[in-house]
Amino acid sequence: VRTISEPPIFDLSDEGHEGFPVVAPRKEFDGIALDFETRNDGCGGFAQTSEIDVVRHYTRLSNLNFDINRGMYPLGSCTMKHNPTLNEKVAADPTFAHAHPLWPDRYLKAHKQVMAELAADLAEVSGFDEVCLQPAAGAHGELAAIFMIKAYFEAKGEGATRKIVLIPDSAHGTNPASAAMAGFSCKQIASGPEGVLRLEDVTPHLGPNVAAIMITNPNTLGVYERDFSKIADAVHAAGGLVYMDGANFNAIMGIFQPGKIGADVMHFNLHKTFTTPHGGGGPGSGPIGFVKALAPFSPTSATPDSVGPVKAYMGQWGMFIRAWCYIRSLGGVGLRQVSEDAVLNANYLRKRLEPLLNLPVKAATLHEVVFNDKKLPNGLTTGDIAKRLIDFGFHPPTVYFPIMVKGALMIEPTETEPKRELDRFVAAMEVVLKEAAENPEMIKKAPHTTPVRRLDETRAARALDLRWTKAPRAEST
Amino acid sequence: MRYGAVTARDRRAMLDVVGATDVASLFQSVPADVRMKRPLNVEGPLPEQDLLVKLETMKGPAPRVALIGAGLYRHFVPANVDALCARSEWVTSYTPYQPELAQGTLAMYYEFQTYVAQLTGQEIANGGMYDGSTATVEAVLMALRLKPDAKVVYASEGVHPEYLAVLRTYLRFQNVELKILPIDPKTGRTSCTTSTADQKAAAAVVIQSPNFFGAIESLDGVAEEAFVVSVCTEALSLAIVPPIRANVAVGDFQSFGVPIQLGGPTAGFFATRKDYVRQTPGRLVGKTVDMDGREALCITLATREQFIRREKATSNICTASGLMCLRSTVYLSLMGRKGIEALATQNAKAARWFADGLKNLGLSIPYSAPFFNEFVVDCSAKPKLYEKLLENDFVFGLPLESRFPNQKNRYLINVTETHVPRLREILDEVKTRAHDL
Repeated sequence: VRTISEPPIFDLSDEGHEGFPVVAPRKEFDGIALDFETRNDGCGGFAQTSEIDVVRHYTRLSNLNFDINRGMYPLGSCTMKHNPTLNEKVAADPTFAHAHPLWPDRYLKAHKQVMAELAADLAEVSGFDEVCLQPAAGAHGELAAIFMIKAYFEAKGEGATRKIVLIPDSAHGTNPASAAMAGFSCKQIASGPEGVLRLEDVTPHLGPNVAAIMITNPNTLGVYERDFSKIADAVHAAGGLVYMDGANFNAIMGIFQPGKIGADVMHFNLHKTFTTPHGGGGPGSGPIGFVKALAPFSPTSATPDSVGPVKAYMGQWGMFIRAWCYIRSLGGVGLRQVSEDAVLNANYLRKRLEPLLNLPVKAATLHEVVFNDKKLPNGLTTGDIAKRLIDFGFHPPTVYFPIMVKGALMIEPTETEPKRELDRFVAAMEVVLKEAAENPEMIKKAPHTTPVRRLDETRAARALDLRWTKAPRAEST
Repeated sequence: MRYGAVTARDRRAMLDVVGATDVASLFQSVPADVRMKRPLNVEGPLPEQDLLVKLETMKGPAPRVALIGAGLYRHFVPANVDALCARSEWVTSYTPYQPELAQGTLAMYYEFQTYVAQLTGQEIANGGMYDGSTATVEAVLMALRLKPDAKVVYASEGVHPEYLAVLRTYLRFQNVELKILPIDPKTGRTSCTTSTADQKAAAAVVIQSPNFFGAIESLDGVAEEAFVVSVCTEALSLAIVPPIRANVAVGDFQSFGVPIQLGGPTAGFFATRKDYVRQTPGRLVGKTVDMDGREALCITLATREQFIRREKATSNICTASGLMCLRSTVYLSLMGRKGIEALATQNAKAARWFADGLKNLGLSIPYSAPFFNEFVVDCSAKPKLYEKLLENDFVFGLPLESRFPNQKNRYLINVTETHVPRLREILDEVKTRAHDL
């Protein structure tokens, strides 16, 4: 087994190095004795390195990553758009970065103003009566909303009967996972042939045992849920509530307001629509908007009906200030332009890629489009194509999601990609598909240009190695 | 528009390819009656400088001195943490589902998991949770998966009150009762008089150390057979205080290079025994090899996660705390073992020195248990002291009375290295104000 180019920091350790000096020793503490037992295992095996070791190590590791600043990330339903540098600068301002949520209010004037204004902005773009900023990420917002729905029915005395949440097959996995965490059972509904949930697919499931339906709109095929308002009316008539997953909100700013067309509660992903960075897996921020009837149950409501907080303190403040800056940098007209350009970019890519790839659902799409592997020659899969695109400087699109499309390849360019970049992507796809016919081995073994190549993921799960440990010293003979 | 990448000419050219007359026609699938008929009413657009000027004018006063910790600790952040972590390769990358393009992020998670396991004395750790409060909840939910018949969870009154509140929110929907173990009024430690049988039957016993009142816990009275969830909000303490025996160790790495930023985002952690690995929530990064036999890292055991297991997942968590895990990992590597031990020792000594100084002013330290860098002070001798100091923008810790009616005139005081250079002046200021009263 060859080792990766940059070893774990622990392998660079040498006890001869000094520790990082934060504050010089103080004479006044000399006589102070610690009155508790201290650990004597070297913090369980920490590294001790030099500053240049650390600087080079994390610089080199960063070089092994792909990132938006390097190239396009056409990840469907992930909305990988440009993360403005300005917002990073503002979030790092010591006035904001070091503020403590338990300081007396007089010191949190600007912070609370930013929160109030962001909540008002999100209410405006979504059409909901109120917004709670507290949830830590999109899935956490879903969960908070599901808790509110549960509490709402408990308050009405229907908690014991309304135990089912309806979820279309195009939903993100977080939807059923969140519903299950509140004790609901999930019933999956198949989308119709046009990629949308039809009223007639939903009505048979409605009744006194249904608490809510969770709909992503536009859905994960990028298609506007045509029957959304009718379904919402039917769910409401049957006494249920409508949860809208806001993962695809980037398609609809200034176009329609979910809170005005039948949704009762929705989460936002500030790290998708509102440009806060994905950071290699977080932090996110998942505020929720809701109608008045649900307001008493909000995690931050001051009434006894509140479900209670879902996170300590106020929420992901560091993300609030970024989103607040983003909204103000664009204004209302700009936000609508975002959605228009996102939809135009996606439709342009769709049109250019349609001759090359199979499009399983032909309905009009908004901000993203889902192809599949049906037309691929020589037994090549979606995964193969995705891996080969890497060699052309692109992050692969989302693959094998949504699950109802076999071999799905889901593409969302976002509005921050110029046409030149979209054309480059199409050109790369043309080359890849030509290769697929002529030289499939090239694709099956891709990527060829990355620091490591395809991984043995089965081995990772079978022989679990989740942390560094000191290699056993070789016996000297 | 700001951040726009598409010109009017591009739009025309793309519309021609699409075969649409205008952009509006691309939205035809959205019925006319649901469409917005007016522009969005939000502030802006503001050019960059105008936005920065506006923010400056919004800023109000800040405290000159603040001795509040209470789960969020102001520690010094070395310049290299900010510089290395600001690299766009970390900031603007996605969750590492495509490992060939994310070995940097994956290596960081692998080191983070190692640091968490080392500090907590556990066998394995995951790639981070939202924060300490939700990590605590996830630990209890895992305990409930392991003991599905349990109807009770015990938690110490010394667990951070906001963490307890979050736990209560989640448990309400699990039909599980949360029973509180009180704090001993003399020691400040958890008083666990519950029978061994009851502890065994419970899903978990949740203990924080150092607890919310600063006391380093001893686990006296906690049964060997209990499923212990240990919580740590001041992770720096783990550099010198031995971790308490626990089946799951959770908490927050905020102290390690993560700014307080009003409590979010921070870096929740989750560590446990290898036996429970398939029940853990969140992301795990593991080592494997690539097709050329090179060592490489990838997300593993993803079959526990929501995007595969859906309603049967161990948690709904998806996006977690990547950048905050990065900050704490870079911070710990930079500090090194010697640096982190020295810093923790200095924190503990500074807090002890300051507490002794307050005692000399006639204030009392009500709890006898040892503390790390945070402790309770009783100001009954000078009940106006907090207000007097506040008039001069000096926040003398967290008033406990509003949350704990039995803690009248008591304040939770935190001292870290950020106070050390001026600690004598800070004490002198308290002395002066105390004398005025």
